[in-house]
Amino acid sequence: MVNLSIPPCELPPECDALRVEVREFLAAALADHTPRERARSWMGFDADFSRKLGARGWIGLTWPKQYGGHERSFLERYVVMEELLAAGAPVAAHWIADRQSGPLLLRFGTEAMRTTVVPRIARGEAFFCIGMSEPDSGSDLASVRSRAERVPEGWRLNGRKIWTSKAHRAHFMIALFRTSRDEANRHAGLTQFLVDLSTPGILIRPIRDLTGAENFNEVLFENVILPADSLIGKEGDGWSQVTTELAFERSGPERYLSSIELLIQMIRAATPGNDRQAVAIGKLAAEAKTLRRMSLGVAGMLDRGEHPGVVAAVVKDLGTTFEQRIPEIATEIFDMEPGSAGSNLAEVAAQTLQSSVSFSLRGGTREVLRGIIARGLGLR
Amino acid sequence: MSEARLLIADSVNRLFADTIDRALLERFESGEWLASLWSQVEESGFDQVLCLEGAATNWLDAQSVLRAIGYNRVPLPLAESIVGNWLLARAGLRIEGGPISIAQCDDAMTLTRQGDRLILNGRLVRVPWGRHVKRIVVGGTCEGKTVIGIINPSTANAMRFEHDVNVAAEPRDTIVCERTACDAFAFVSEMGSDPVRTYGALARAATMGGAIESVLDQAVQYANDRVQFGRPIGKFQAVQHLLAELGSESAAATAAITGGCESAGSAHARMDVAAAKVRAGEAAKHAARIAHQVHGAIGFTYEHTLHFATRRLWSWRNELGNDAYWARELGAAVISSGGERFWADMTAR
Repeated sequence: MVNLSIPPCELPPECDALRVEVREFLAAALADHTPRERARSWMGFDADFSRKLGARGWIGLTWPKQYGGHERSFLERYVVMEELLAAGAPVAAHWIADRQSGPLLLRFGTEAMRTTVVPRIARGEAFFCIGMSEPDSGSDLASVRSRAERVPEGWRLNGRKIWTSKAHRAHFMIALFRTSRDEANRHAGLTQFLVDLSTPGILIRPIRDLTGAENFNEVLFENVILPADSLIGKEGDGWSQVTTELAFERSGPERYLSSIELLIQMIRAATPGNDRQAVAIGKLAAEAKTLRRMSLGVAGMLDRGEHPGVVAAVVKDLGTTFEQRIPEIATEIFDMEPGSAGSNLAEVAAQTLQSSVSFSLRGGTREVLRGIIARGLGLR
Repeated sequence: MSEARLLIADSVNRLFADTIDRALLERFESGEWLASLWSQVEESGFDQVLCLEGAATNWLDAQSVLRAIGYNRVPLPLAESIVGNWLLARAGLRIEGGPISIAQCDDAMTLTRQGDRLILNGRLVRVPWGRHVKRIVVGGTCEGKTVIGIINPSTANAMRFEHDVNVAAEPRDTIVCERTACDAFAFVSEMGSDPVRTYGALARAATMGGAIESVLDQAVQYANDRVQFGRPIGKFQAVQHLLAELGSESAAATAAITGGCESAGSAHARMDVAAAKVRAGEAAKHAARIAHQVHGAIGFTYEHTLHFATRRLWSWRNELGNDAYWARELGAAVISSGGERFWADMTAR
């Protein structure tokens, strides 16, 4: 019998007080934030805002105090994340570091990385990007060809990374490079490095996306020399380390809340008594409630140290489908041309409509996720 | 899951796995009332899982019984009996045992008090299993207050039955009441204005969740067994992706239903039930579509058992309020609270 069930998770009482604090902070910090800015969701970048969050102790919430963390529970962290997302806060600067780079360094990094870099992340001062994809290695990540070779000074890196979100504004990259080739096992021979992006030989070129914004980049490595201690974890263990990292990347509430500002604008614009709008918004509300339960359930599993790989894929697949349905429904139930000036609904719809096609690509395509779910169902 | 809940789930699954097969379902579809199966259910107490004396059971315990009804396609008014007995208990009315049904009065129906009697006039539309049950728990409004009444089809005066069935051949009989007197009644507060529909819909959603799980299991099994082009069809990515979608839909339905069961009996139950029924309905649509697509022609035959689940899904999705009914109510509430309250309401508890 197939089991994809997610045990329900009840938030402990300490989360309520934290939620109130976060809401009060956001109400003040984002008072002048326009709906269109909120609609950028976790792609909105504001280094000052991230530093303020760090000062409040809301980055690195679960990390050990000795490394700048706050030793609070995974569920408290979940509450902070969902409140930030629901408010459309500009979290992009620290988001990746808080979500996956920090935890990765704490788990696999050297003591020097834990004591020097991790506390800077928690203060909202060190921003990260993820160097995984390459021009010829998208979903097939194991095929990466960028190479790292041992040299007397440490490591020499050559190659190209692409679709690297926020690389042009980040201080560090966690990069997956090939350190050896094993024809029999393509998952072997991959290694992760901590790369200081100010190192000579690194060229970062923003790639404009279809909305005109510059979020992702191409990053070229030409004879980049890294010190020997920039290796993360074990040489050749990159694949299993990346897999752990992806579980964090795929399981969070940002996988269903990216279009929430548009849904809020739709609720505001709806006419009481309009049946068509009520039915459509009711269906979206039912989906939102359901996804929150599922997403929170996954957080509960992580909190208990379980491995929700398959159900995290379920929540991301359903969540991004929901995020993409919102702009579609908006144009069905409102007489509105996305982008027309002067209407919050139309401006937010334009932003969300255009960016939503990327939601089922970033962090693992829908097709890759469905392969993971199918394996979880016992199909091979 | 608590130990008591696991025990209930285990015994109910065992009972139905041992007793329900294609032959039994075919007997049911030819019009037979399965009296001995009902006796077994009653002996086990599953019809009163929500009101067993001394047992602190709740809707999450009932969820495992309701799930098993859907999973095993149980051809009895058991979901209705569970809800009906619970409503009677909450209303302080006597529970007598035996199969019972539930019916919500529509706006055209009148309920009037004559002395200490409650009199019904109008049509109780498509009452589940009406012809087979001993008593019907009726919900309605009398003198501006929510009332729960009991009618007994064998003794009540002036009742006329119009027999009908749903797509899954389950009886759905309209009962015409002309000055029909209730055996007993009680006014209820704190259960909303429409408790029969609210909790009937929750029970329907929970049985749908079980039926969706059963078609998922059947489809995965079939995809692993059926060989074409020299390999099991489950090896093909196109088929894998369909089944992954079905798995996700099933997980979503279960999550929404569990949310409804958690808040059953509380002030905010109605909206969580709405979400559960809408989400289960959406999942049912995809489950039936995908399970049939994966099964190919054999799944379209009467001989194959898949249709015992999919025909129930098509029926149940539209009973006790269809997707649009519940979505409209939920959407209207969300719109009336306003966009600025949406997130706060979603996270309130």
